Amino acid sequence: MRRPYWMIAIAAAVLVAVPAYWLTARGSADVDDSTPLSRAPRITPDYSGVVIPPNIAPLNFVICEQGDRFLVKIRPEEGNPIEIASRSRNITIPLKRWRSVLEASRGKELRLDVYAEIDGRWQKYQTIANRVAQEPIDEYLVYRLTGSVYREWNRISVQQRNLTDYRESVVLDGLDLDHACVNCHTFTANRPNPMCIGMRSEKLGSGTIVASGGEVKKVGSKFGYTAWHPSGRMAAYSVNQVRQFFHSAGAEVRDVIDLDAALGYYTPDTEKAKLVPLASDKDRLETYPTWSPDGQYLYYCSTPILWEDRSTIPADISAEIKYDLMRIRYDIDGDTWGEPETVLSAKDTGLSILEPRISPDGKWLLFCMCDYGCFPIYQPSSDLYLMDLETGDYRKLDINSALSESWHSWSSNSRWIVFSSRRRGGVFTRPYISFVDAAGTAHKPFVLPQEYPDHYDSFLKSMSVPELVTAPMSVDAQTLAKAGWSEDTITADAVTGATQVMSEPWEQAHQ
Amino acid sequence: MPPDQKTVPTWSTRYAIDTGLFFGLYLLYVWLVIDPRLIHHSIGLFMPALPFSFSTGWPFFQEHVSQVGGLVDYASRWLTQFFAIGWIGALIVSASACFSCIAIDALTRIAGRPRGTIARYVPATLLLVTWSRFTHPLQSVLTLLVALACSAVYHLLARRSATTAFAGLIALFVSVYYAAGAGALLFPALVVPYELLIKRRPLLALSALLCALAVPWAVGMTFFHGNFEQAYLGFLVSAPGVIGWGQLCLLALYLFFPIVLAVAALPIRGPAWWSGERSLIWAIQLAFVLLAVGAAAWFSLDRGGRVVLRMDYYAQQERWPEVLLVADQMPPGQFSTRCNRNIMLAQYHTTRLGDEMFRYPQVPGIGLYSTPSTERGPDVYLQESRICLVLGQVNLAERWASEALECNGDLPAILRVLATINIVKDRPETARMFLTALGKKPLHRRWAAEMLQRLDEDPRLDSDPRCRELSQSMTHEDNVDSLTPEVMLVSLHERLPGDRKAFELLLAHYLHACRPEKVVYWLQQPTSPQYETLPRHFQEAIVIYSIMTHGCLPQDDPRVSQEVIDRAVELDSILAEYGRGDPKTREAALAAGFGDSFLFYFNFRMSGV
Repeated sequence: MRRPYWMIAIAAAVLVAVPAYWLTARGSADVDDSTPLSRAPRITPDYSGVVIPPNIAPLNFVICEQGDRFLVKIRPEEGNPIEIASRSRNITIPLKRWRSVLEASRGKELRLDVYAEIDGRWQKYQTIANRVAQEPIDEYLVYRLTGSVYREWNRISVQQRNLTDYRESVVLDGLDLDHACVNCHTFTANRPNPMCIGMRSEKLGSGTIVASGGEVKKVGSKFGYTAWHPSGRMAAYSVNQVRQFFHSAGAEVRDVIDLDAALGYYTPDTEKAKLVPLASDKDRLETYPTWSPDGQYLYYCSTPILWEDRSTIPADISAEIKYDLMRIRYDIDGDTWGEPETVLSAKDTGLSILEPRISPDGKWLLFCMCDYGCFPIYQPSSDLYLMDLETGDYRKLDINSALSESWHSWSSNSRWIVFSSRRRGGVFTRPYISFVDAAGTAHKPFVLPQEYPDHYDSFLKSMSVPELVTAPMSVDAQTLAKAGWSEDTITADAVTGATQVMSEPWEQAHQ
Repeated sequence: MPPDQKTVPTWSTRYAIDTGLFFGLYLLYVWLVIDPRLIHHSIGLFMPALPFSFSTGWPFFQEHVSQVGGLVDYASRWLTQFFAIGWIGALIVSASACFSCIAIDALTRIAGRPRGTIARYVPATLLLVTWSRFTHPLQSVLTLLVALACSAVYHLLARRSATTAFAGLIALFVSVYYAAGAGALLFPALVVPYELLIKRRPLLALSALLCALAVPWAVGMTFFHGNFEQAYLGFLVSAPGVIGWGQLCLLALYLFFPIVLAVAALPIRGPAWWSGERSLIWAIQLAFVLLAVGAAAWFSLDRGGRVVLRMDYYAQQERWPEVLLVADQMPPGQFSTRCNRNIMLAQYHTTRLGDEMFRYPQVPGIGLYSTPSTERGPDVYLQESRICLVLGQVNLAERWASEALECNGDLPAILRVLATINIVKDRPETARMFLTALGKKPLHRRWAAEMLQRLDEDPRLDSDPRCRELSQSMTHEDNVDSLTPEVMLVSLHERLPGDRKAFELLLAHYLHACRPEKVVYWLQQPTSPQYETLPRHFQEAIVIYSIMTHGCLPQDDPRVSQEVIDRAVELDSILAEYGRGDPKTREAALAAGFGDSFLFYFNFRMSGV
């Protein structure tokens, strides 16, 4: 009587095994006598001609070529190649073998051979040559995951991705804070602590969650763009009154200007916030603070307010809003500030200079320039530029696309940058990684690899503000959320007559 | 007295007759009256869309496997897609009702009672009532059915030893809890009366109770890190697609099964004549069931909601003549901004604005381009996006469609609009993303694949009439100020001079704003389309303008028909008779049939009455 059960079990196993075998079978991929083709294969994401970190997760990809079966050989200069045979165009590289191949290829070339079988005949595309860098990238990438937000949002979260594999976890989920908007995650010198995240919710109000040492506290006012002093003893931040508006024509619909802005700073030990005296000018907009690695200079962007009615958007935005790159000396022991100096003037560049970030070795300053305004992610003209801080020379990087590049971050060893780009389609932001060599040359960037090779093909969310950190968060999402709900907030009111409101680009509309 | 074998149907024949008749009628009612397409359409309108979003592919499945209740949730989302096809949706609803009926039969049989004729249809009736309100309790229903199926398996195991029963209880409850979530608590709720009253094994009953407490804590809260509400209360707190008293119906549905089992297990017997063994009693019982269920279905059907949904459904399908047909069935007082917009769009597409826009209620200040704050919600964005596309305001359309995507998730209709917008904006790569996402929706795969293929061949899709039309009407003038409807409409007319639909939309705006002078001005412009017969409302505007500026009727204007002039004279005499401010004037004008005219709207600021 048990026989039918066995038969059912066997039938079920066959039903599962046959399609599985069909999809994954290596088959007899005899490619020795394959026909060579004179072009490289089209693969997406484009992982060809790139320099990759020796600790990055497998660069899974989709072969955009015709074929009944495919064979991919990942060949290190020394050692055994990885061979992946598949009937599917989606190529998933086994993690363990990939790691050993990468380790063996540090500082060397890593080749990729793609074969496609059509009507029983194998064709071999030209070899794709990538290079594995000696220097690893910081293991974690913290970024903001959001939809295409105009006025409404359903879920905004800050995510933490392990770059050596695909594991991802939530740093702070807006859903845990009653559908709050969470943003502006900032770390100290690529370390996960001290750190802070901004939050805003109808129910819980606006605030900044600060994790410093073993403590997590909520500051009752929301910091704008924030930069921790390398010592971790204080954080400089901007206070911005943001106005969102919309273009009735053109590629990008959304746009943003600051109607007012100033710089302040917060000291966790004393739980006090103050304004940066000469960077909170009522007649200028100051924003995007960032520290030099030695902590002696605060770099920031500033522009004069030239239009009369400061409650409205100026008539000629593109002419009137262009930011200079400034810096101001700071002595943390004496808590004294120097005089602002212009590092690079918008008059000289003809463009608006934004989002400066200095490499941890203090040699390079990476920044955006766009036609006008203060929010480069909404500016298709935004490109990345690199300045040699010793000479003051700067140049546009070759890694730019025709669309917006912004929100960049350095790795702790100053060899990798990750930045947000809209190069694929212009709407959704993706993090791209690029190797910057000792001479300051940024190499062809590649998009953050994903477990599913076709992940980005239908991923209708933006991954922006990528920040590289060397270790996972020291505080879990529940603890951060608990702090967000806490009524025990620190009153750190840096409000002045110049600057009273901090808002997100879309907040005006939301109100 | 034994039943007469020649005249009285046997038990199995009766079973087949009443079950077949009941569920045959049930299926027809759900298919033809409730119309599952409308339930499907109400997702994103009357109920949130995110709990019903579905995509093919492993990542989406994996996401569900990794959470308590994810498997049933996945199944519910998948099946929901098929509600877009009316008869399949009706089959799903009827099948689930039928399974619930079979479950009642099984429970009464386990308790040693004969199959009833009334109680077995109670769950199906509760489901019918819930669906009649255009809610969508499918996930809760599937959870219920999974828990019932699990109970059936337990019954098989429990017939062996107590040890087997205990092991089965643990294994089955952990499995069903993982698959179905907190709703699976129905399973131990059925085990308790079964073990206590039928099998007389109080220890096993106690074990079931303890399981009901421990497993949600261990699996739901500890292993899967859920909170207390998710772990224990499930649908009682929030059932996707069920609001208001639908939740009470669901609660009644869940409680009904253990109550039936408990009552059937009690040693109480009803009168013998009621057992239904006699044909007459059986027939009476069946008639009672059909009448009662029919009455429940009749009284619970949300007729107003049905008309609104039908109109919106046809509008989304761009079946404009049907929109206007349904509009005529709209009960008084049901009109909303959303309905009015659908009607206006239908009239725009069928070029009837100039003749019929005042057949329907128009409210000054609330038109095609503004939504009162009381009616603002996530559901309006997609409609606003469509209106902006009509106006050639593609960027604005993108904005509203993006808001819709954020609020309602990846509904196929939203993905289609966004794909189209990105094609028109010459962003084929982004259009491809939306189409690829759309291709993961089971019923939209083919269309998405075709569009992707066409995009490969022609990235701007110039060959596509819809895209070509949108490209032509798209504004290229960047304006960062808020655009007024008038500016947008004039700009559209200037981009499409001579286009009748764009022109009538502009004039409809002026009619709605009671600006006959503007109507007259634009009719005189060389860019206005050539009419053989000017639409009635435009003629009426000329008449009013003539009276206002010249104090006389436009007797010599060849564009105005004698009939319109006569009607104007008639209304004027009514106004003169009662006086403009007298409420009787309006009643007299309505009695004279002026309720659908611009003449009436201009004087009384209302229409469609």
